[in-house]
This record gives sequence, C-alpha cells and structure tokens, in this order.
Amino acid sequence: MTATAAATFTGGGRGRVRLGRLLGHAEGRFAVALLVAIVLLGLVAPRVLPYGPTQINARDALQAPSRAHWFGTDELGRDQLSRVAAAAPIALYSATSSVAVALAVGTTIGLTAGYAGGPSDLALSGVVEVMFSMPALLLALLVVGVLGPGLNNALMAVAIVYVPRFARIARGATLSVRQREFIEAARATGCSAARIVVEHVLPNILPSMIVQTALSLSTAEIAQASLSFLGLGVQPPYADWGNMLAASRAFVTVAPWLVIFPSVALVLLIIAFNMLGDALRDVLDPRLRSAVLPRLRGAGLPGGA
Amino acid sequence: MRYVAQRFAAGCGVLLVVSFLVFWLGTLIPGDLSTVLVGSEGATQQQYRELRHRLGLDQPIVVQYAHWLGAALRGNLGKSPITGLYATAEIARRAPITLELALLALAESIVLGVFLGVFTAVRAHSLADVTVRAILFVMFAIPPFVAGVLLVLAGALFLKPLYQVGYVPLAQSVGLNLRSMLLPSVSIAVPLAAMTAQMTRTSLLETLGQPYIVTAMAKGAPRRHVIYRHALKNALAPIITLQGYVFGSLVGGLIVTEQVFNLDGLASGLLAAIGRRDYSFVVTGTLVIAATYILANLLVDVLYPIVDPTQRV
Repeated sequence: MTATAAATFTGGGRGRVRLGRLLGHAEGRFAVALLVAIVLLGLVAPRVLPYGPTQINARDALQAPSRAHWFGTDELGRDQLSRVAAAAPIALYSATSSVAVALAVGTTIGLTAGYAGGPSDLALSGVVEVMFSMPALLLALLVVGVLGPGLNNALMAVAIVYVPRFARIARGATLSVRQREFIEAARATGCSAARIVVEHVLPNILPSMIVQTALSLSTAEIAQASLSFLGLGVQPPYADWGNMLAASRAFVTVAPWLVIFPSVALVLLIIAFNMLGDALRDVLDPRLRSAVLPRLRGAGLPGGA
Repeated sequence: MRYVAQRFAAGCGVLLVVSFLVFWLGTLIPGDLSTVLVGSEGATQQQYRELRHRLGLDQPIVVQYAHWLGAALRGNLGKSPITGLYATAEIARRAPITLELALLALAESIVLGVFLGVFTAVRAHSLADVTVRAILFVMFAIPPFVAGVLLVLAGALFLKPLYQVGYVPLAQSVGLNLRSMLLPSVSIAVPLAAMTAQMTRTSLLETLGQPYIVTAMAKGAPRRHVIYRHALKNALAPIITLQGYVFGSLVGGLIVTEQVFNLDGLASGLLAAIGRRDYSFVVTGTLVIAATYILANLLVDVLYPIVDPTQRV
C-alpha cells in the first residue's frame, strides 16, 4: 500500500532497473525513505503503543507531551501519537486509491478518445474540458454533497475531480503515439484496435501516466485532508490529520501540540509525494519540466486542490 | 479584439454547461425541497405529491433547469426555502468578504513570489538561493488549512494584535479590515507564493541566458535595470499563465480558510448550505464561484498576448 506508482516498479527486469535509478536519484531516495518511514509508523505504532487511537481517557485530557504521551493527549485524553500514527495508513490509502481510480478511468477515457478520434473524441474531450473549468476542491465539495460525507465518498469525489487531468494527458500521449510507424505496422498485420491500444499504445503512454500519478498524489492528499478538515471526509472518532486539526483548532492556545504534530505529519507526507513526483519525472521522462510547477502548456494541471 | 470576443463567448458557453452540471448535481443531493419543507413525518403521500407538483419538482430536469435559467437571467436566483433569504442578497452580503480575501491572497502571493523568484534567480546556485528554495519547497507542501491553523497559533503566541480579530468591513475601517484579513490571506498565499517564486526563478534564469541580456550588460546598463526592465519583463508570460492555475488553488484555499478564521464568506455559506441540504444556495453559490473562476482564467488568456507579443494573433 505504498504508492501505487512505486508498486509498478517492482515487477520485471526493466522495473528493477528503474527502481534502482529512482534510488540513485537523491530526491527519490529521500522520498522513498520518508514514505517507508510513514508506512512503518502506521504499521508498527498500533502494535507497540499502549493506547488505542480512539481510546478515551478523560483523566489524562489535554496533557502536554511527556514520557507517557510523546505527542501529548487531546481533549478526550486520547494519545496523540497513536492518533497521528493511525492516520498514516488512512492518508496513504485515500491519496493512492483516489489517484488510482482517476488513473484507471482517465487513462481509459483518454486512450479511447485519442485512438478512436472523431465524434467520440469530441464528446469525451468536451466533458473533460467542462470538468476542468471547475476549481478542484469546489467540484469535490459538490460531489461529496451529493454522495454524503465519509472517507470512501471523499475518496470518490477526489477521484472524479482528477479524472480529467489523466484523461487529457492520456489523450495527448495517445495522439502522438498513434502517428508512429509501429502502430501502422501493427494495423497492417491485422491487429484489432483493442489489441493495438492495449499492447502497443498503452505501454508507450505509461511513463507519462506514472509521472502524472506521482505528481497527483500530493494534491490528492491535500484535497482529502481538506475535505476531512471540513468535516466531509474521515468521520470522528477515526483519526485523520485533517479532522484532527479541525478538532484541535479550538485548543490551539492551550494545547499547541495538538496542532503541531498532525500538521508536521501531513506536510512531511506531501513533501515525500512531491519529491517522489519530481524524482520519477527525472527518471522516466526527463523532457518534462518541474513537477512542483505544473507544466503550463498542453497537459497542465487544472485547478489544484 | 476579435480574440477577446471569441474567448468571452467560449467562456460563456462553458459557464452555461457548468451551470447545467451544477444544477443537475444539486438535484442529486439526497432529499429535495419537498422533503425538506414537508419534513419526513406527518405528511401524506398526497400532500407530498402536490407540493412536488407546485414546486415543479415532478418535471424533467431539463425543464426545471430551463425555468431556473430563465429566472436567473432576469436576476432572480430564488429564495432559500429553509432560511427564507434571497440568494442574491446572501451573495451580495458574502461575496465582498471572499473577493477581498482572494484578491489580497493573490496580491501577496504575486508580490512575495516574484520577489523571492528574482532574489533566487540573480543569486542562482549560491547558499542563499539553495536555502530560500528549500524553504519554498516546504512552503509549497503546506496546505492552506494547515498554514491557517499554524498562523492562528503564531498569532496567539507572537502577534497578539492579529490574533482573533473579528471581520471588519472595508467600508467601516480600512486599517481594522486589513488587520482582520492579514492572517487569513497569508494562509492562502503561502503555497501560491512558493509556486510563483519557483516559476519566476525558472523563467528569469532562462531569460537571463539570452544574448540580448549579455548585450545590455555589455553596453553598461545598470544591473538592476537589466534585471527588471529587460529580463523580468520578458520572463513575465509564464508567470502570468501560472496565475491561471493558481486561481484553482486559490478557490480551494478560500473554502478552508473561511472555516479556519470563521469568516462569513461565500465558501462558508456554501458549506453550510451543503450541510442543511439547501440546494438552491448550493447551486447559486457554486455558480458564482465557478463564474468568477472562469472569468479570471479568461482575464489571464486576454492578458497573455499583451505581455507576450509573440502570442498575438
């Protein structure tokens, strides 16, 4: 359940070479280390910490960080370290799975529109452009309004909002691949359209899609955490860095530790995702420019989180 | 001029489609007006059906939309059946807060971003450049609501005069108004400034490598003059294009920041309306924000050829 993008690299011989190159990249190494640390925090903490993340202990409410509670306790006496750790898998899950859904749907739309061309391209591109013209979080908010609050609905909302950016990139990449000779050769040998798309076009647009996946992880996580902060994502008593911040806002002056630790955790995860995106871009697609900055012409990012 | 007209027409078209999309999503929000008005208990099926008919909710969505659009174009955006407030009045009350917040955040991010971008570009690869860029990298990773909560904390600890200042309308007192808006706008501007700074640095560095800059330097023009008049002016185009992307993040920032600082703006109203399933306001509120967003992007498109003559058609 690390990044879906990273999972792609562990298969096959070529994959291993690329993982090696990612680890040879300073930023990539740092990103992978940070992500591994966050995953370990989520896996190990529940087994070694004496308190459950939702375990209420009113006698220990609002305690400052101490030997017993490294990150202090919240207004219900819940151990803050347990909660910050319990939120790590939720954050990783919501970011990766919303992007994975968007990747799958967006790539399918983009491949179909780009390869088929004609009226289906026009229709699909039209839908994509309209969705692009809405600010991301606003659209996500509306979708959650329809679906109702909750982790999985917030996840779907972000996935829906992210479909256009994947569709647009897949379409652009497909259009340029379609012109190449090997596609013509495949067609001449009598390959079906479905086979050409899956066996010849898809592998060639994959690097661009993987880079976009990694770049989207950080903004998707920001969107998820924002929805949780607004009370529309992960619901209490379950811990999420976003809803933890929302709950501890009222105690900001009496218990600053409640604000600081979830913030740091969230920012570290976003930094890790950003660096992973940058590193993957350098390794897979050196022609693309900075990741932190959207590629402005052509397949750019729509309204961010 | 024809270009502007074309872009404007395209923007209107997109807005029309978006309005239908939003209207349709609004009707999908569980529970329509009739259930809210009648309540879940005490009403017979007959009363329920009559009310639905009277409100026009039993008609096809396209017909409902046409009615709504017709009224909206005449400036009647409807009245909330729950709060009893007219949508236009609500928007007129809330929009100035959101708009001011947005403009302040945008101005701060551009000023700070361009300044830091120039600062790092002219010192490229020095210690100062590396340090500032590391800070920018972290700034970029701070979501507005995290920045907002941390700024509230910083305000409580170090900036007492800025801590928990209630909103004061601009018309009442400019000074107090700015004091109440400073932290909220900065919390939105943090990641945006980082983006603008990175883009300014990249673009300026590229421009500073051009032969005409070498010429300007060689003929002895003052360095400051070369950087600001020759280089920055030509590096502006991508920075302006970036602002189109920034608007999207800006709207996201507004939504969370209004919550953090308890500002009673458009986004707060929208969120509250979603909470009480008051979809007439959800639709209008969303549309006002979406329209402003499309308009702002249009402005960037129009501005672009003015700054970059090679883009003129």
